[in-house]
Amino acid sequence: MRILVAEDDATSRWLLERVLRRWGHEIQSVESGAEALEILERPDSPQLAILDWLMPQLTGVDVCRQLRRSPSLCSKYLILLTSKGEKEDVVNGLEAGADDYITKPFNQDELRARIKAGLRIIELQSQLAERVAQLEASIAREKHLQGLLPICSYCKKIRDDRNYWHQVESYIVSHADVRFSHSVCPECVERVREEILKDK
Amino acid sequence: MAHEPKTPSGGAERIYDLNVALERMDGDVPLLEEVIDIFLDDYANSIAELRQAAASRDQAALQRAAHTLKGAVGNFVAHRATEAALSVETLAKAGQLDLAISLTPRLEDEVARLAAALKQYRHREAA
Repeated sequence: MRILVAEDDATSRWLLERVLRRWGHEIQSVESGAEALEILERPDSPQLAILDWLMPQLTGVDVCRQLRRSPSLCSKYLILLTSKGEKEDVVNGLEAGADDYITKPFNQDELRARIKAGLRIIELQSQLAERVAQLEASIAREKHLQGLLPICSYCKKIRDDRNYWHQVESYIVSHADVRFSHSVCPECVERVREEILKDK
Repeated sequence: MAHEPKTPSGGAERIYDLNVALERMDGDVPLLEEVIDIFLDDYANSIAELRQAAASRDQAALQRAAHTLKGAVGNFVAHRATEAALSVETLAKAGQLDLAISLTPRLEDEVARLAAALKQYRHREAA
């Protein structure tokens, strides 16, 4: 998993990078909120970011707030780094759009558990997004068969958008997710039998 | 473990508690030592930022510099340095700029004392 780390203190940033890399993550790290925002706004940026609270230019909370305003970026999973005893800040951070927080200096077990929870949410979200895309695609296919269809009163052909006339069967096959299984109805069986007898 | 870090004994106030720091790092001594080296390489920059912020009476910069130092020294469970950083940060945040600036020398002292103790520890380990 790719993770962005934004932390202005070199010691804490290095420790975070080192520990996360050891757990198999790919780390990109920056020293300010502005740099973090710039990276997260790029297409294909990391889905999970760990943001320090107080950083030059933009704070971690500013970054959360700005990302949540953008519909395409609001699915990022954002973890804020706070210090002990900053409960009020934690509330502000969560209200600004952070998903979770970690208290500094962090305990490795806690960090691992919180990252794992984040990855689970990201995985769920991507599965949901995929499912929604599938559903939207199938709705788009079905839509062709809605509305008014011009049909010939005599031969029952259907006219398409480009003014061509199609047999009902070929029209439906190309505009809906259906296939036909061919059979003969009792009335037609009767009619065909009479025609055959007449020919004899 | 081959070389268990020792918290300096003697003196009522402990400068750091590397046993707790190490516990947080899953008992990884080389990792702790690397973190110490990074800190020793970098803390002068943070002190310079603190001085600059105090000299220019920049409230936001002072709060941030103290916060950054607090995060850095917190890695070594350095209570006195953490407390000194927290005082400067809190006072700057509350707009008590003069008071916050008056406490920056104490913060500098505590950080310098921690750095000296960590240097000593690394020197001992290397020997």
